[in-house]
Amino acid sequence: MTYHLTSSAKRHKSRRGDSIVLGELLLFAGMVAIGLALWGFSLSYVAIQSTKLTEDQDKIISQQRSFLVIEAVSLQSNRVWVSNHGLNDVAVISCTIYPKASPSPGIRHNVRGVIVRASDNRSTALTGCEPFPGQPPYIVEVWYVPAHLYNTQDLTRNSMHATVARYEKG
Amino acid sequence: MVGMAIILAIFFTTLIPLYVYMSSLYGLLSNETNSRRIRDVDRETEDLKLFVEGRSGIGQGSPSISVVLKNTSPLLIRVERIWMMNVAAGSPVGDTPCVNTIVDVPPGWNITVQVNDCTRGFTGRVQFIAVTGRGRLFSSAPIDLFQGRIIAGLFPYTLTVSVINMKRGNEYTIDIQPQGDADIHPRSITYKATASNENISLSFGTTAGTFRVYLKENGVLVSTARLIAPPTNPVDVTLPDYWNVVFILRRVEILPVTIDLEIFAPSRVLEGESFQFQIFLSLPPQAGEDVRINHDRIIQAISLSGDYEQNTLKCLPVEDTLSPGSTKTALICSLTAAELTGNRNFGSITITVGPIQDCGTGEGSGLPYSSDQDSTIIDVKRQRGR
Repeated sequence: MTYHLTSSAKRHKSRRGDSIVLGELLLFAGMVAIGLALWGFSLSYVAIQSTKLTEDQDKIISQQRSFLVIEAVSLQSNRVWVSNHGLNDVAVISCTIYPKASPSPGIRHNVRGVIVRASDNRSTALTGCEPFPGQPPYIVEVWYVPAHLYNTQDLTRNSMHATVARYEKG
Repeated sequence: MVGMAIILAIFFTTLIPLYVYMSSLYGLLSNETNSRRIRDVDRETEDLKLFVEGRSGIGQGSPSISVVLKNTSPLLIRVERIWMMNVAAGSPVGDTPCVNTIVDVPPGWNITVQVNDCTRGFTGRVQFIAVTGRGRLFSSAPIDLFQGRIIAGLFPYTLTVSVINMKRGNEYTIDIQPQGDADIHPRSITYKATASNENISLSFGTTAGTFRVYLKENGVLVSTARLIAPPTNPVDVTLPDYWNVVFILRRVEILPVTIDLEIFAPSRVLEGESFQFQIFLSLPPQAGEDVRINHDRIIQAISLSGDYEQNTLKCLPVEDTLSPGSTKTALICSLTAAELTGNRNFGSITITVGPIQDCGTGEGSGLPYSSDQDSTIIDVKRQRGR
């Protein structure tokens, strides 16, 4: 038995095929858009993470390359002589002298980023230390940060990367 | 298919580069840590010994003092600076490094560095500290300098001066005057005797030669009448043949003095009332020593009479020692007044402390110190309403 489609049925079938193609096209476009957005998001995430990683590594490596030594102290003239034996220039941010029996007073931010250069073979005299009226035994603490990490705007942030050099007398 | 392509694209363009980047960062950090460890090991391996040498004989124009740097490590040590620290003050002499030039000391080598410019004219105890290029500090043993010369080499002999039988509280000064080229350090020492018949011996660094030794008591030269030996004051001594002088002073005889005893008690108490009284002791300033109080003897010497309750006397010792010229509380005692019997409205208690032969004992001599007697009368009054 043979069936013949009417003209209206033929028209209906053709319209249905168009909508399938259109749907597939839309789906394809959506997928491409989502994929591109995901790609872009991934790229930006990677870029941000890489930058952050680089900065963190820079801080860690800079700290490892910093090495300050306290050579001598004069309570009379309130001076502390330091020298840099590391590979990075450092900025001194705090200098305290306290009795040996007392706990460390911590970072006082009383020295405004005195730069001690790594390439110099000379010692640098720090003059901004808190005066210590007592007698030995005492401890000298000098806190420093890698010079390129020194934050002039917000001094308290410097303590995040600070390292301490100690000197004990008596 | 497209999704897979995008996932692959993300994988190859982001994750793999990120992984590679992180790996390279980790490698960089490992290298840095390794380098730091190598630097730390090198720093710990450094071993430098500092010795101070000097030729500083008497009459020499300019003393020669040098620091010998001895490298006992297997590494080359670069000494960047040498500080001369004043040990007493704990600070660098002149607030500048003594040597500020780089000195390389190969392994096993000794390098001598002249430090005359730093030590010139300095008197006191100093220590030299070398700062190495790797950031280590090495120090010498402290040495004594006298006007820029090492004392150990300057004064090879020792003169001992002894003073026997000093009088408590007096100041004794030993002055030594070198004769000719001789020299001595120090030239004068003053000592205050803190006990009767105390003895001291003092040592002085000297060169060979003759010295005139003076002994002064409270700033006055001690007369020969006060001395058992030597026959003269001052006395000359020549080193190294003779190396000591002994001044023997005549012993100051200690004679016990009488301790003044006083009773302090209330003048009036009520019947049945408990009250306190104190016994004070005064040691005259003429006493030549401290006196230890014999509390038991004082308690035994207390006698009571009148209107008091029997067996209520209790005494507690307060001070233990009397110094010459001092007055101290020896005992605090408590006693209870008795109830007045009959129609009496008034009564009395008499407290007496009789003379005591051994009220105290001399701390230096061990001699007994007696005390005088004292007595006091306390009025006892009837309580109202009874």
